[in-house]
Amino acid sequence: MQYRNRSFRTGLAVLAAAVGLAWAFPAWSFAATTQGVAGKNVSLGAWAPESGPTTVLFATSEGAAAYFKWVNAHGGIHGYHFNFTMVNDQYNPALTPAAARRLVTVDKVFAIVAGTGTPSSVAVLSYITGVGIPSIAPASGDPSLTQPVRKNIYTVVPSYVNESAFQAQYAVTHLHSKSVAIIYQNDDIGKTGLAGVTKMLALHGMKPATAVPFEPGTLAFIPYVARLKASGAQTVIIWGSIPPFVPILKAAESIGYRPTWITYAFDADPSVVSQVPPAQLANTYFDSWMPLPDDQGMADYRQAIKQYYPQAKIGLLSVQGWCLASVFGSAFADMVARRATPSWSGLEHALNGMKHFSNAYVHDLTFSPTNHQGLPAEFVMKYEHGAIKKVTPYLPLPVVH
Amino acid sequence: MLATLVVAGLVAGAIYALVGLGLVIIYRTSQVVNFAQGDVSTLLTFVGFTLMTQWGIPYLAAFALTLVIAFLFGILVERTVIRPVAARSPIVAVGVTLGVALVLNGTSTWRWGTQVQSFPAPTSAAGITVGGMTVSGGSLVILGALALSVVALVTLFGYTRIGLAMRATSEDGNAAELMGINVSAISGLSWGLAAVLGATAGMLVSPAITLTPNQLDLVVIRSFAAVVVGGFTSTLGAVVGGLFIGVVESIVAGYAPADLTNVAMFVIVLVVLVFRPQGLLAAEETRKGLV
Repeated sequence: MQYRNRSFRTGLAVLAAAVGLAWAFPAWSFAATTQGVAGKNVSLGAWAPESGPTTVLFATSEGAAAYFKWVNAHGGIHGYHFNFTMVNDQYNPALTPAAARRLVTVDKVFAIVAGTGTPSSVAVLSYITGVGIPSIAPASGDPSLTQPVRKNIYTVVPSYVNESAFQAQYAVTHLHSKSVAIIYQNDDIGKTGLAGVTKMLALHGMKPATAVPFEPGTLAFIPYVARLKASGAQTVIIWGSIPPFVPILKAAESIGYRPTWITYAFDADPSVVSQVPPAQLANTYFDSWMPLPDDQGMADYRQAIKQYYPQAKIGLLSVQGWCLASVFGSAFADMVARRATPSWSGLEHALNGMKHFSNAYVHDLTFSPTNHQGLPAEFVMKYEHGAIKKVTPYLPLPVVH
Repeated sequence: MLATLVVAGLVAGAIYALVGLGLVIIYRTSQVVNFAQGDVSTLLTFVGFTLMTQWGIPYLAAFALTLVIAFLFGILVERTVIRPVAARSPIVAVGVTLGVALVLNGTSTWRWGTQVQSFPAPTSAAGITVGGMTVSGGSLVILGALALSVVALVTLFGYTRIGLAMRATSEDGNAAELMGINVSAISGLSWGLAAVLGATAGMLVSPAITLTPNQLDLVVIRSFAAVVVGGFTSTLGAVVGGLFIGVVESIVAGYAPADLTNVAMFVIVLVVLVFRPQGLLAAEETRKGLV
């Protein structure tokens, strides 16, 4: 009896220790080793909104897929070829965990690359962190992805807080606006943008002239724009995942309100701006971290999209996917160039070694063990005489908390 | 500002009403709540988009051709998908409409992709300016389309034999069948008309927003609210409900915190359901003999 009690206590202690370790180090408890590499073939994957309410963002996934197809068609990276699997999560965070588990446990991908969507990326944050699989350049700027720093998650898209602060800073310091308002999507993404704008304006001793939220899918924007007009705002920042830029500007035109607008680069797509009243477009600035689709350095991208996704349009959404995937490609190339067998730790080492890395797709990308949000700068552009032109060089992104 | 908000609400409400009319017509003749109405509208809007931008057909001709296609498409859906199951139970048919919605949404995505498309505007006219407020040409066209649709439906239901047959079918399908009315054909006709109304709404609203496979999701929700308020069995109720919901949404969005926009709308729906579950106009219209 005494023996059995001692055995029981020992077993209990071992169990308690195991549970304690698992609690203290969740990444270890379920961590797999490097996977997804068979000879010179590497499996990669991402969740992607192939259907559902936000299918427009699937273009980003297509851009990433086009990058890997193009790489494979041109000999791979140091002979390595990539099989990029997209699992449709419908931009529904309830479905993303299943998609992520499938990629990790069934498809056994080496890394997640350019997983698309903020709600999706946030929904699997703890799972991805716990498993330890590298998640490189998700198509999201949610601050929670990189704050606190997670060893296996690296982002390229600027933090939404910093980006919206950048827009507010540009309004105040470059456009010399005395009153700045924001119209934002009434969800976590929109509220993050509101936080950035509010914090930056506070640094300049200002408050938003007004902050007008709208529901995704809103049809009639005149009521919302009328509130902006009533506030007397000289500059209005538009903020959302894919904000309804065209309806907002059309509504403004219909009530004779012509402030200066600042919005994100996706709205600068020619197919979008062609619908904007010219007088409103003349007052609109777009911020971006990405090159423009027609840039000289994007010839490979244009060719790849035409070849692999002829249905897709050449545009900034797919440019984003291409550029995000290229960050993985650059890090992978660096890793294997050191004659290292592909591994998760090797990839993380290569990413942490990226300092002021620039090419045709990204500018001044810098990672470190304590900074996994790589892009420090954006530029501003504007339509002039029917063509989009950069009106600033790369400007530093402010860091607000 | 109030006048601006009211006019904006009426324009949005006209779209809700056009979609809502389709819901009501189908419900009255087949007792089926059609959850695919939004995706039918979107698919047909893409068809119109293709005719206008890729086939180069002039706007008005492409618009009219799309309505013809819509009518045939609605009949096709009813014949091939709805009719086989509706005979068993309207509830089963309602479930099938959800499946149809998914199929059509996937088809739109597959065929036309996920990119935002620019749908041609019906007119480039500046519209009219009253008291410093400009009502765009597109908005006037939307309001005009609703008025025209209402006149056409009232004429159809009130002054034609087909309309009489539709009214009889909506009152009592079995009795109508015994009287020699081809109830199946009437059901198909209803689906065709609903598709025409949906296509009209989709093609008119798309220039103001943007054309994507999911553009009408919120519109359909508002349209359901409109027909609940107006009465699921009342065509005029759908119109009044749509305009009412549009104006309320606009005024609340203009003056109250935006979080309250949806709240206000669904409070109205709840109040109507509690105190007048048949809708505001359903009983009144029945008395007058209108559908």
